[in-house]
Amino acid sequence: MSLIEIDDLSVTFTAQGREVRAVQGVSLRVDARESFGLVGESGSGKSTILRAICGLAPVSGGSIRIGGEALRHDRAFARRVQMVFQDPYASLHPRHTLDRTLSEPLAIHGIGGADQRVMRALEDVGLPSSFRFRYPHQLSGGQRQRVAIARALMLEPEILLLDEPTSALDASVQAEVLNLLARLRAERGLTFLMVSHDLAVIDHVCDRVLVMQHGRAVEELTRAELAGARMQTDYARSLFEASADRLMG
Amino acid sequence: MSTLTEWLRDPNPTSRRQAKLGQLWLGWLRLKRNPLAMAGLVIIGLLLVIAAFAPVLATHDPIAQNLQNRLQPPLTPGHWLGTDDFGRDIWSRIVYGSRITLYIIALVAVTAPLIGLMVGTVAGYFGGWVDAVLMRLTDIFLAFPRLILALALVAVLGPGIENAVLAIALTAWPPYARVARAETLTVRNSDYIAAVRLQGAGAGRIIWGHIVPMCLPSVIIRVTLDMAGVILIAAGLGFLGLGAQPPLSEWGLMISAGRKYLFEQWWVATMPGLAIFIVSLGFNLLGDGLRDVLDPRSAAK
Amino acid sequence: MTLLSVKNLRVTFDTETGRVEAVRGVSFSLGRERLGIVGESGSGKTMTGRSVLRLIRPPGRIEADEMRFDGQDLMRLTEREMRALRGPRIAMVMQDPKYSLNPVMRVGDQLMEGLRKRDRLGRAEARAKAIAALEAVQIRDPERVMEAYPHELSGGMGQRVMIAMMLIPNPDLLIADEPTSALDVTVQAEVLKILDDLVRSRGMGLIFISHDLRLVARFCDRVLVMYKGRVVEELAAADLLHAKHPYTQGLLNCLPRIGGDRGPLPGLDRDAAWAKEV
Repeated sequence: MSLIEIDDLSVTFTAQGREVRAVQGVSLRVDARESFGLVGESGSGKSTILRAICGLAPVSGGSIRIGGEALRHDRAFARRVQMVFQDPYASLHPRHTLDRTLSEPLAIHGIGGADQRVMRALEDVGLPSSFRFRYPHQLSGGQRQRVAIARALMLEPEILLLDEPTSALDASVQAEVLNLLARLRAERGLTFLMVSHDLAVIDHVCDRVLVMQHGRAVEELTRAELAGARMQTDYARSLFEASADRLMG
Repeated sequence: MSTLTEWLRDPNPTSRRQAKLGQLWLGWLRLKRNPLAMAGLVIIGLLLVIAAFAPVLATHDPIAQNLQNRLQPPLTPGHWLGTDDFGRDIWSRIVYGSRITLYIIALVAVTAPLIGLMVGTVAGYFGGWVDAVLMRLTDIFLAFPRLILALALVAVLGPGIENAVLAIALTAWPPYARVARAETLTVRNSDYIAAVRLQGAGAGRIIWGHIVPMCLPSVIIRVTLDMAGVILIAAGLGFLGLGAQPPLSEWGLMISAGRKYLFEQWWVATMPGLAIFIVSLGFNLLGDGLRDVLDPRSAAK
Repeated sequence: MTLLSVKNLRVTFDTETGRVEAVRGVSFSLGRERLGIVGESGSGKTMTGRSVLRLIRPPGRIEADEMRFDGQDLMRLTEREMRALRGPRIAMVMQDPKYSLNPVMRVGDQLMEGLRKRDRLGRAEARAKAIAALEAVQIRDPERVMEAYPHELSGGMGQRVMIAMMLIPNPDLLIADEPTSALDVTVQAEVLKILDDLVRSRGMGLIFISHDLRLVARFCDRVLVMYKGRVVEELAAADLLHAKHPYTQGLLNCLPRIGGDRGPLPGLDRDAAWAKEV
């Protein structure tokens, strides 16, 4: 039994009388402690799948199961699944200090020892404890993303959903954040479901990857298949060609 | 003093209070760069000082009549702004009148925005029928012209300054509800709201802790700009005899009383009129300056 | 033949919390070739591009020992003279067509606006030129695109419209500020090819600003690497693998690669010495 089971999922948005089928009939399985990637271009529906898991997008068909149970968005869910959002400039409340942002999940769930937990969280993501009472606008994009990761881990979830966590960051900062994510995953035995448009990032972080286009699943690849360019579909190949680095040699 | 500024500018605050005060200090520095806003602040500061020290600053008893001295022009010895038709010193009446003006402003500024904020954020956050009901309620109150409502209240409760304030507050809250609702609709879809919902936060915590702080700048700006209007409405009600009653030296009432003498003894109506003009201008200038400082778009950079 | 010559460019912003120096002593020259300016956020690359067009508003200040374009001293021109340069002689393509095209005007009207007001062409002639420009960027049904609004176009299409618009007056120098960063990966390649063909065939000078070192190396002849407002290395694109400055090397090595190993990516150990002015 996989930790995340998505079967024939469809997500449809209705806006001003028109229907937009963001996701159509997508299925995937993620095992515990696995790192699974969703890759595609804009409009492929990859981020919508994450949002559907979180209850932020309306499911119009199919099912999502976490740990064998149907999806229920209650407090217990919050302690199992958390998300890191794409835009570090939009995912932290601009008027809350980092201390407030990090201690809030603890307050919501009545978990004590906030002081030490916040300090430890900052340390875990490599931020100095003197940043504790800073505001987001006093931090760089990479630092904000670290706070977002720390916040997601405050409730010690099993599953971390990552929505393009490094797309908005500079290359060198991206490297640091990817290293941080890898370390945290190893230390805490986390399961990752990660979305990205960058095949190289996905290749670095994920064990398996699902290529999506226009809301549909195109092809699922293992890392070995991706690295060896053994894709079956034309679209997956075109994505690979566009991303592969041809500078060296 | 410099250690205080250093403490405020510390890039690594050690407590929430220090962080908050530091941000306020930076906002103050930005406001200081705007000379018009500073002018507005000075005017309002003067208003507060004059109201606080009224007994000291007034030269005469504002309600003491002196019929032999009536309708003296400005710059008469002892009455630098002149006297009105009962011989009362206009300067002293304006000084005591500032207290009444402040009383009206304070009451309205505390009640109307608060009600409007609550209604607007709840309507904006929940949407659906909650939104529809609350907004229709808002529309009903918005539909009342303030003077008509004041007339109605006076007919029921009798004239007086408290009833005038009640009437103003009841008609002043709807615009705040609309502003708060508009901000809420924008903020509601942000990632940080999604994040806290994902943590299991309930609607109350989200609205009060996350949405209201984002609405505050617009509401604060609106309050300062509204204050000018509130003063004028109160003056209008006073003018119609529906607000403050004689012998209170409310500025609008003073203008009304001076109407009869507008051509010959112009100062009786004009002096309180100037006071209203200056204070309204002060609030407008300050409100404009605050908008530049508090506008979330420039604050977010 | 030197098209643009910049010596000791400085851009400073006076904010209420003190002076911020975005560009500190940048010098370069450009002929009819392609120059890439690469840096991370905060490196000053965008500010450098905007300074050439003097598009920086107070509280920003531009200072330079020299900034010459085709013999004219850009620092001394009046605003009016700069306006005559911007567009016909120096053009700029920006990152996101959603924000750089006017959302309430049809594409055709925007394309023709410059032609009709600046060059005083008649409606029919302007329209013909606009359609020709759209065809030059390989838009297959230019008539439909002329009637569309910017939000109705895809990212790649919008960026091609932007390029068409900027190239209508046939400028000598094009400054492209992250022109493909907002586009999908497969579309990026197409747009870059179009840009490549146009720049080559018209013999224009190109300043290509980007955060993507490898992209710039593929596309440009020479590369300037910027860090915290300074140029830390200048080299030919072909020599990129032999970069000498540790920052450049770090930038090259820190990106993940498909099929690369999964150990920790080499980070950049930022040395404070790199930010020091020589």
